[in-house]
Amino acid sequence: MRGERQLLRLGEYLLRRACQRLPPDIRQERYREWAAELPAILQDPQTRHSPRRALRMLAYAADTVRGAAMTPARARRRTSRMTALLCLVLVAGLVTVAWEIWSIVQAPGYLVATYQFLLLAWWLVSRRARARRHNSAHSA
Amino acid sequence: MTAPLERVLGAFLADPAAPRYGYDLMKAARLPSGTLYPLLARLEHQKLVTSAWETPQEEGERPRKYYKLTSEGIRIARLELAHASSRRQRTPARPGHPAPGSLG
Repeated sequence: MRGERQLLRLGEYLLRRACQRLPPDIRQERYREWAAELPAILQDPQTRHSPRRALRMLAYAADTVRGAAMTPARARRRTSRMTALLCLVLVAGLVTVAWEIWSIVQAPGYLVATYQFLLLAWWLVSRRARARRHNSAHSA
Repeated sequence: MTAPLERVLGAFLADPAAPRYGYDLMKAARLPSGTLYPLLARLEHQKLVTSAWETPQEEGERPRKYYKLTSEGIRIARLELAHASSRRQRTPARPGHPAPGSLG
């Protein structure tokens, strides 16, 4: 395949990156194992088109990086990081809501607005009561 | 048992005596390498799978590592797959949805 050597080199580079995430005692063996699969993927007779084989090989190497990053210890750390992030978002949301409420309450026009609202409510209730009295007087 | 594990065990059990390379297992189990290799490492740690290096056929060829189920691995894999299959049969199909695992 044209450019096979360059592709292999790229795949090997990705696998080396993957191995850097592994404990030192298993790095060498894992690299040997994974790197030996690269030519097998590039020459897989079951995959007809060479660009597809190349893509498959790169996907293999890239996904191995992902898998190596998800060792149990890292997965645990990632979970705790995710939890911390979610807590942070939740606290930030609560602080924002509290701040909004506080700024509304502290706004200079807040008392005036409350007074206006109470006046409007009183006017609506009294109007309704007056209409009811008027209706009952006419029906009697 | 997770779906990826079920697929890997199924791929092994298709021919328990045959040595399976990582790439072959990826194709047979339809799993990406990042999922397959941690699973294989776990199975090997549990002594359900054993691995060995092949002898290169040609000079300059890189030896590949192959995996096989141990006898205990074969027994447990058969048991687990049978349990998974019976669990699926017991799960009723929702209207408009096929039962899990059915060809539906």
